[in-house]
Amino acid sequence: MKKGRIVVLAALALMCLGFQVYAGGGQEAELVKEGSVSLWTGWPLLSEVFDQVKKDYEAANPQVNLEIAHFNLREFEQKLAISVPAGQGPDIFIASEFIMPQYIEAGFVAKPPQEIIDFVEGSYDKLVRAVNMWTGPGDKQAQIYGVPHIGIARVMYYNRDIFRESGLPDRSPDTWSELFAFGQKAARWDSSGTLTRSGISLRLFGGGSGVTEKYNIKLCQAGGSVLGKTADGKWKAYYDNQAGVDAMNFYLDALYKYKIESFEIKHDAQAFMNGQTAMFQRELWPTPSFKKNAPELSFGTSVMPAFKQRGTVYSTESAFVAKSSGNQPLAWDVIEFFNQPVYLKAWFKTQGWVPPRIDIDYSDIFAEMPEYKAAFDFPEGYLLTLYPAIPPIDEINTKFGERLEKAFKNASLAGNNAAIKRFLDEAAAETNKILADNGLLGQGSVVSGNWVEAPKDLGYKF
Amino acid sequence: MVYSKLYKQRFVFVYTWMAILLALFVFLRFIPIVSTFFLSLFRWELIRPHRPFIGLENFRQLLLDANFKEAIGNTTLFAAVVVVLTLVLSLLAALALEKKLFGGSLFETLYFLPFVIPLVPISLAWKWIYDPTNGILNYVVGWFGIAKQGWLINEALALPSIMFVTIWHRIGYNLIIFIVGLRAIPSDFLEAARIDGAGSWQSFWRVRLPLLMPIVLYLLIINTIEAFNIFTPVYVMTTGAQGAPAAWVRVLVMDIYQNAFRYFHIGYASAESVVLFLIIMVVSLFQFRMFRRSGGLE
Repeated sequence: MKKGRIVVLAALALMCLGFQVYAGGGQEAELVKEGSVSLWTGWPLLSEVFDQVKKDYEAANPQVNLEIAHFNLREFEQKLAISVPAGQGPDIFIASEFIMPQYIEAGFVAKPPQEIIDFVEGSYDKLVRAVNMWTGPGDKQAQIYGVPHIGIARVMYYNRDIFRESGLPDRSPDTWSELFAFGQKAARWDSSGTLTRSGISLRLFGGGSGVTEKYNIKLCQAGGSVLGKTADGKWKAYYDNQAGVDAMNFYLDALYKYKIESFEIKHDAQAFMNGQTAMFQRELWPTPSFKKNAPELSFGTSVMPAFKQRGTVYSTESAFVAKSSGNQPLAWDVIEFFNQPVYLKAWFKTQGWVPPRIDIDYSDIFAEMPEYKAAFDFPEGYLLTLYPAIPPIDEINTKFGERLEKAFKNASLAGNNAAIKRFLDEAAAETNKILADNGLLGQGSVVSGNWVEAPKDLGYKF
Repeated sequence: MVYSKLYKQRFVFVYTWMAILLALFVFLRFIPIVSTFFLSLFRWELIRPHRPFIGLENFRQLLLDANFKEAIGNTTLFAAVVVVLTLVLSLLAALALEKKLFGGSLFETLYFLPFVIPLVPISLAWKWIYDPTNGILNYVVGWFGIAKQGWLINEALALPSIMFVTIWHRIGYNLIIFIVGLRAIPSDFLEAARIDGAGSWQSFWRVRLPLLMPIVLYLLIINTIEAFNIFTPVYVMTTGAQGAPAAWVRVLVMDIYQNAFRYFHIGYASAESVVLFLIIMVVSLFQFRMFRRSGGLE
């Protein structure tokens, strides 16, 4: 009898120990610097600095093998989706805030230890901290899950030489009207009327959510956003309104009224680098790329032009640890390691990859790359439109983007506000259906667009 | 019955290898196909743990999905045009090359060469050829006074442009099969037809084509399956900031890929796959029946 009681108690003790190990997932375990740690990103441009990170970390910790892999963004998201739920994913991955909600809600992402949370709260700008809060299983309120790696606003690029040649001032246009006026002067056509240099390069296609993102910039300036918040804290399409019509008219006017943009000409950073466009909108990564690959290119950057309001899209990428990681303390240690100033400054300087740390002096980089300031030095009332942290946001943006691609090709929409409204209503119905399917469709009208006023001082040292 | 040792050895050899092949088939084909049917009955999201059984709800949603309907329309049109033109053009080329004339082998090789090159580099190369600004095709059509075209951008041209690449890629394979079939026709039949006064057209229509029917049916089914499964050229040639709007060439497999690996709606994509499977099955059975009725297989 006594023996039996001892056996039962021992079994119970073992069960408790096993449960604690299972539930904790190693979170409370001590840091043991040995074994393999895998890290994935969707940004091959990070590879050069990460190669140095690997070399340095393994030199400092000879028992650790750091395996780092970079994929193209879409392939990265697919690999993550297939591997993480199966527990076969990497230990660390760097991902956007708009794909993370589904992973965090499903419990696939490890909560960081308190020292990491304290580090993030003390070292990152308030905006990136506000954006990187999520609610996972068992959380009473949103909390930090990842270590921010980038926080970036989209900026306006303009070609100084083309502006000078066209008799334009050495500054980016301040308003939409000025943008069209500048664009008409900067654009060039050949004898057959074919556009050979666009006044502004717009994202007209791409098969992904990038089309919607760039449209969202104009939408924000017109007073809308792809999704708006309703009074019950949920979401609804917020572009089937005058703001949506105005944003569509921006594109259609560029294509069909002023003819300063065309489908057949080259687009985006490639066109800008080749002098085939006078202006375009993007993150900061083209800046070091231009300086390296087209050193003769004379360009400037600025905040976006205004319409009814002034604003741009803001997004972030953060480093997360998978709950299935066999060595979470080591994974967090690696994250802390590559967040040292030497690596962050290298990324910032060479790739335009903006680490949102306010405790690091970036003034030398800003001195060398003054074009970077446009992504930080915001005027009064500048708005930053965000990606809602909801699981279907990528589907919403991609499907809306496909509709936008078709609409941009439809010349009959130009100047036809009623037809544009019908198009937007149809698209909004699809957006709202996706929200409804995910239990996220709000009741009643939208009470606010999905933007925040840019902090007057993010805390960076210019 | 007493079996010789040799017979037993052959028995073991044959059935061992058949068992291995059957196991591979079951593992790589049968199980995934059955799994797809199974998944189509669930709201199976790749990243979400909750996956309820919803019966035929995915199929009901497909009937209301405008993207799916567009994909079916584009894919059917694509298949119809590509299959017919591929077969007709390759048969014409085969008729021209079947006689072993000087240089015939060179032409056979040139026609077959595109087929041996993987579709990805071919699609990349054609994407550049079709480039509206720097592409060689616009340069050539410019000689004839034709303005530069957005081959992959213009709604009217995007799908035909991809059809052209696909036909060009597949002609070689069909050509070789047709040549083999034409050369296998016993010369006695043709001689008899000639003696009866048949001209070359009658000889072809009344003698050679009926004897070619098994090959025509084989190529028809293979090409139909390939055409309905078109994906690689569409994916490579129509995505990217410099590429074509993918919506103009939305095809079924592209839609399945997007639903499965972009939006992670595995159940929904599986339902689409089941529909694609059924379409190909029905079309193939119809083709079999059509040929049987016309006497082509007797």
